Amino acid sequence: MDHSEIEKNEIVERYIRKQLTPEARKAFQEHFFACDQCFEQVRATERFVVGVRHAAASDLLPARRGVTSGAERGFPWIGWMNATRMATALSILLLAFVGIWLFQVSGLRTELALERKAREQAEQQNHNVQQLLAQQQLNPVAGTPQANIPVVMLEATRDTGNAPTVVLPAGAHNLVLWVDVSADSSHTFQLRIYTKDDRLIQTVEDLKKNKYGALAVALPARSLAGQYIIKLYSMDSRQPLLRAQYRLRVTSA
Amino acid sequence: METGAAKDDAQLVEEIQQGETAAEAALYTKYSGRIYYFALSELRCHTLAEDVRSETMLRVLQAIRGQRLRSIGALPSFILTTAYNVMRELVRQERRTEQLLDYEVGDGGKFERETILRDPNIKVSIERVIRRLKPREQEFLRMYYYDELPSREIAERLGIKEERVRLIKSRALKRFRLIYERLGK
Repeated sequence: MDHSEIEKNEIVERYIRKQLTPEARKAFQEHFFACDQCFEQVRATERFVVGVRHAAASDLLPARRGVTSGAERGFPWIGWMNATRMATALSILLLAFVGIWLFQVSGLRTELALERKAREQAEQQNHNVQQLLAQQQLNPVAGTPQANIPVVMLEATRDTGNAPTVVLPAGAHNLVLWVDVSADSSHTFQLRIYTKDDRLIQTVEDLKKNKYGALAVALPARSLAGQYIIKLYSMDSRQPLLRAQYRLRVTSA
Repeated sequence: METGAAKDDAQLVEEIQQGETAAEAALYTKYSGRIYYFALSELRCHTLAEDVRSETMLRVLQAIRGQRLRSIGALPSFILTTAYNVMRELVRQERRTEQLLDYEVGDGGKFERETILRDPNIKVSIERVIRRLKPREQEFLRMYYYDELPSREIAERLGIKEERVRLIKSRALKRFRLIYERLGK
């Protein structure tokens, strides 16, 4: 048995692990009895094998279960490919989410713009109506001058008979109610207009005496024909105090 | 190598035959370690291995002094054969069966661990070396030397070709020895 054969056939290790035939074992024993080098190699290999077994038994060498992944097997390019694939998939997902998000945002923006436009239109419409109303209110300065505005002087009465009647001329835009309160010490008044069946249809606030000691209230004459109960309240105290009640009948010419 | 060793053996034999005790001591130093190792691996008993060593060297020296050695070149073989005979005799005397000489490990390697690793320095050094190995090398060592799996299965578990198992083993052993030497043992 020579060294080339020993090395080629891994004789030393097989001797240690008792994997040689009896004849081969004896032949190698005869060899290393005479060979210092091989004897040292036997001792070193035995130390190694026993040490490894001891380490495994002591859990210094963990057991492997199952087949390893490509990256673990020493094929790092497989791990790299998997990482690339994963990165690509994540990128696609991310782009998808961003795209959906942008699409939704775009839709929301459009809705918002439409809402804004509708609101602006409504505001403009409201403004126009307010202007129209303002124009339609009796304001000698702002409105168109009107001639022959009918004026009704209300007189308090407890008479339940026929109510005083005022005839609105054709084309009349307003009707002025004149209420004498010179004898009343109150400063602020309120006028409430009811239908004859006691349904409130109009309240006029913050009425003040004019220089004649009277209250002048202008009502739009349109659709005013009918029979009314008008109540006058003093507003100086917390609670409105009924001061007078009037009846009125309006007709159109 | 063997030629050189034979010359040294030849000189020692000649000197022993001339009665030089120093030569006997030199011969004892050269071969007693081998005899002890051989006996210990076979008998798994330190006491018996000591007895085998002592008895074997005694017989060898007696044979040399009595010029009963047929060939100086055959001295190692003669020593080994003598050791074998001494072991058998001792085993018979201890009333053990010859199955002790079978090549089986019945104690899970405990004998080897207690023998080889009873030096704590060696044990620590080996553990340090193993920790420095790569995970793949560690896995291989466990499967090959502890689990004693066949190369085919090791290759399958590591996901490599069977031909590469031997190469991996060679590298693992090389690295082990390299690290072991660096650690000063």
